[in-house]
Amino acid sequence: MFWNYLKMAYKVLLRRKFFTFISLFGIGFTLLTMLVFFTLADHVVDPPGPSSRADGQIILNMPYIWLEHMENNDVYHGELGYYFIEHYLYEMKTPSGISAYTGTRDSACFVNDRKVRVQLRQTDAAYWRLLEFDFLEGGPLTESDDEGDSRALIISQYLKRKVFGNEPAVGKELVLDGRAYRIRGVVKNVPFYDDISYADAWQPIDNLESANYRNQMLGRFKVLFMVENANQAAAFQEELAHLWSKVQIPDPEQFNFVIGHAETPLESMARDLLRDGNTDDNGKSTLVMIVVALGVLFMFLPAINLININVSRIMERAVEIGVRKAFGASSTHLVGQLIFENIFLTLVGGLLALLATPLVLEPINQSGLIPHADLTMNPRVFLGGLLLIFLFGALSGIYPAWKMSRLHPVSALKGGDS
Amino acid sequence: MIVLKNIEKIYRTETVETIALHGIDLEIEEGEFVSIMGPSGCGKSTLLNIMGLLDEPSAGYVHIEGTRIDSYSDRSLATLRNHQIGFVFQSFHLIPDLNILDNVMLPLIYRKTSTKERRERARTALERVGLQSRLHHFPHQLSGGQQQRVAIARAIVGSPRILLTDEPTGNLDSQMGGEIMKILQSLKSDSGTTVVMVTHDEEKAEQTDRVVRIFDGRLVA
Amino acid sequence: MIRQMLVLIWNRKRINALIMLEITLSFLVLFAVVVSALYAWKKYSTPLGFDYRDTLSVVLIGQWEPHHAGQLKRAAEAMRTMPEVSWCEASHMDLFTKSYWTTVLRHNDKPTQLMVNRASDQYHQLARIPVIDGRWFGPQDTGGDYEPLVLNRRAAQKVFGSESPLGKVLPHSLGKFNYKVVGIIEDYRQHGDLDPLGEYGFRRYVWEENSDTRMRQLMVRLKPGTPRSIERDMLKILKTNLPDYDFSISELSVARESYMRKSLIPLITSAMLAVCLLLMVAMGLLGVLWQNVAQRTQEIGLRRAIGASTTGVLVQISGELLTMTAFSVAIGTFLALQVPFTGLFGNIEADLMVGGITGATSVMLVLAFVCSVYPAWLAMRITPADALHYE
Repeated sequence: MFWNYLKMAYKVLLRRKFFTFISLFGIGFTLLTMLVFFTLADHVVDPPGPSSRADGQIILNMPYIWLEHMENNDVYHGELGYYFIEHYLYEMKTPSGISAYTGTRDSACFVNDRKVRVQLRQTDAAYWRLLEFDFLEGGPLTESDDEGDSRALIISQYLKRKVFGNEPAVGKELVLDGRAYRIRGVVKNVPFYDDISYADAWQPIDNLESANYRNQMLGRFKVLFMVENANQAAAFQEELAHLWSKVQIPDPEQFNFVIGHAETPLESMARDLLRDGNTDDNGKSTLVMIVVALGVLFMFLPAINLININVSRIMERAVEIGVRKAFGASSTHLVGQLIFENIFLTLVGGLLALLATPLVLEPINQSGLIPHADLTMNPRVFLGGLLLIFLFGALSGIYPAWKMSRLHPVSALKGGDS
Repeated sequence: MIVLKNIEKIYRTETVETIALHGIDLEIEEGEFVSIMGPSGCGKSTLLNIMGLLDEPSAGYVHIEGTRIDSYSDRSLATLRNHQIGFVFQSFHLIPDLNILDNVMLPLIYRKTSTKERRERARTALERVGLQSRLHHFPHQLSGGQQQRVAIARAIVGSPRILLTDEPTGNLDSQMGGEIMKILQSLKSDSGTTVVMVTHDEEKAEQTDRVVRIFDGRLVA
Repeated sequence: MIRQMLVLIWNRKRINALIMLEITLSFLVLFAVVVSALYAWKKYSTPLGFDYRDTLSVVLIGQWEPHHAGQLKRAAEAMRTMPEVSWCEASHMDLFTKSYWTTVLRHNDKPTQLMVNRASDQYHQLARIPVIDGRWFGPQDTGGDYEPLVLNRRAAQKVFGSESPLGKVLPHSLGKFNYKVVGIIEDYRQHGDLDPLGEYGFRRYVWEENSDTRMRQLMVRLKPGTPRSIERDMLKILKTNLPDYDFSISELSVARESYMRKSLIPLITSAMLAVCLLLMVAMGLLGVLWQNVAQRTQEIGLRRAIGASTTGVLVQISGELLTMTAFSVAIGTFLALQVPFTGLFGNIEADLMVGGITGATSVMLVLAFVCSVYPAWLAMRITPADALHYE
């Protein structure tokens, strides 16, 4: 039976070239779009770069805190100060690693009088232990860079190429915004969507002439925490929840309570997009729901296309259905045949989409639209894609198949005007 | 072989009730070649469809080979049609997407047979209608008479006991029509197949064992 | 003609319902994208409320001590003596970042939350903030029994409604002092061009020798065309006057640009998705119509035989899809009009609704027309003879 269905599907598709083309294009294009955005989303949610740890450890990010005055409702929202980090967060027991770092800022250096824009980030030494960068040359910042006025600098492969070409860069000098740095290491490029790792150059946080930054409650730092597994993550969140009430705020007249959230990139993004500030719920499930709803809608429309084409083909195939019924096909046979045809078509379209996805991702990577993008299809996206394809085939096959099988044989033989 | 008992067929729409068949009692013996005659719209095709279990009577019973058909479930009818009955239609109704061999094999794919056997039986059937050389042509590449011969091959490939034909020569010129009649005759005489043919061609009807006439949904003696 | 078209559409109602469902859904997606884009454009084209050009932000890094106030004052004075510097003023909050500071004002027991900032007496001149009523705070406010407050237009409206805000006194929420509204400025948006208009207020920073009020930022407006190398001289002056601090200097225009780039990502992504979606829908409509024409060769040939002109056939084929599109758009418009009542997306302003509906409607109609052109052209070429050959 299966073999017959397959043969039949193949023959019908080959003979109906226009229908096949329209359907294949529709299915292929839809799935291609889905796969590309799926890959993009996958990379944003869990970038396969420095911030994704191979050994199952979890990195949580606290980019902001909220200072509040509980009585008069004043709120101050901003990045963390080193004083707070040093006196409270470093004292925490549950995390296996804590790092302070800053967001990137626009900086510049000059190569043969041409300005090269550099996204510059400041980090402590722990940052290089928590995140797994690929070093092409030299090595990471170390604890001694956290101490004095270190002028060490880690640069990306991209910046190294721009400035030093193919020469080795470690030990050489680079002037950023008029200050000279000595290059300690060169790392593989980090894509823009890896929010906590991305930069062109990384310098020690202690790159200022004094340690004044150490005295601030609010400042320009973000904090990473590393936990070993989900259990430890829960213990850590527990400890964090109890921490806030213990914090002594320097100016309690103005603000008397502080709170922040340590979150995964997805949770941070959901809070950023959907939540206006410091709510307990970070909006992750809402974001996931919105994305799923959009995905379903996105698949629904081309599925309707396919249903439309299939249904209008019922008229064309009415006689065929009538004949099949007359010669002993049951409704089940007919439903089976049509769904099979559809899934077969979807599979071919899906296969084309799977093959075409790298061809679309590569130009996106090359275009520089997303700095240092390194989008590749991973097995997770591939399996998700296959699932989508089956879903799509079934979704667009069921209604026409049901409608087809319900045709009365006599009227079907007359041409299907039931 | 086929027994019809007091068959009624009424088509109802919201406003009108049309009686297509009225109290039809008919018995067709095994191996008989019967033609059903009558003017357009007299109900002869409806009667054939009811005999072929493509349509359900509003009242009355159909017996096929002594079994009363009272369960009109989709699956059991499908099996019965597949094993007992072959159809030939006025406008051939070959599936344009399939080649001749695949068209003829069609009834066999709804049975448990091997591909090899299906192929063999389809070839044999096509040989019987004299089309063994056109296996891989598509229907539109054949003349009307050839297409109708393919349709007959398809109808007999599953060795049904009953062959129901609805104006099989209606779309053909007289020479081709004659050839088709010869094939039907030989089916009756060679394998004892019961053949029922709807026609309004008096000359063709006279070549059969018995002529049944219908007028306004009633049998006329 | 039209009646017959409607009859034909009705006779194929099942499949047409699916097509209309498809068009309606695409209309809604398009509506959402157009409204978001228009909203972004509207925000972008609304004045920011200040001028960010040629301006440097100097963030002070260090722990505030009361006596730093005097040092800060002298640093600002010294900066103003530089020939390249037009203005140097203090302003607490960062621009073009996610930071904010909010407070709640109560007037007649009605609370209004607004973003606040603290700035010095000439900051409105530095940032070219248009004062539309009253005045910016200044030395005349020193020694009064109130703290002067400047509100933006929106905040004044929200707090006072139709009352005149000038001279109104508002108690501080803990009763420590009273605010007095001294001026109204244009809508000021600290987060940048793509942020919604919001309520905003400025509190006064007084240049003093000793102050508990921590200031974290000096703003410097340079004469146009000043090279960045000026930062080195500025750092020297800053370091001499504020020895306990480090400084992070950045250009506002650069900060604005990177803020823009990040804010536009969701919009660009959804617009790209919408384009892909439309392409797909177009493909589907084209396919259905094409098939439709192929199936109706006989009908069309017959129409030609009984005297329909080629234009007549064209109108019939495109007309059917356009009629269905019009119906779907009407349904979509009805649904879109319900969106504000759901309250899910806040209050969508009337002009955005109109723009979104018009935009989505025209795109859908153009799309339907374009999709029907080729099949209609095919249909036009059908001759009565073709129809007879078809069997």
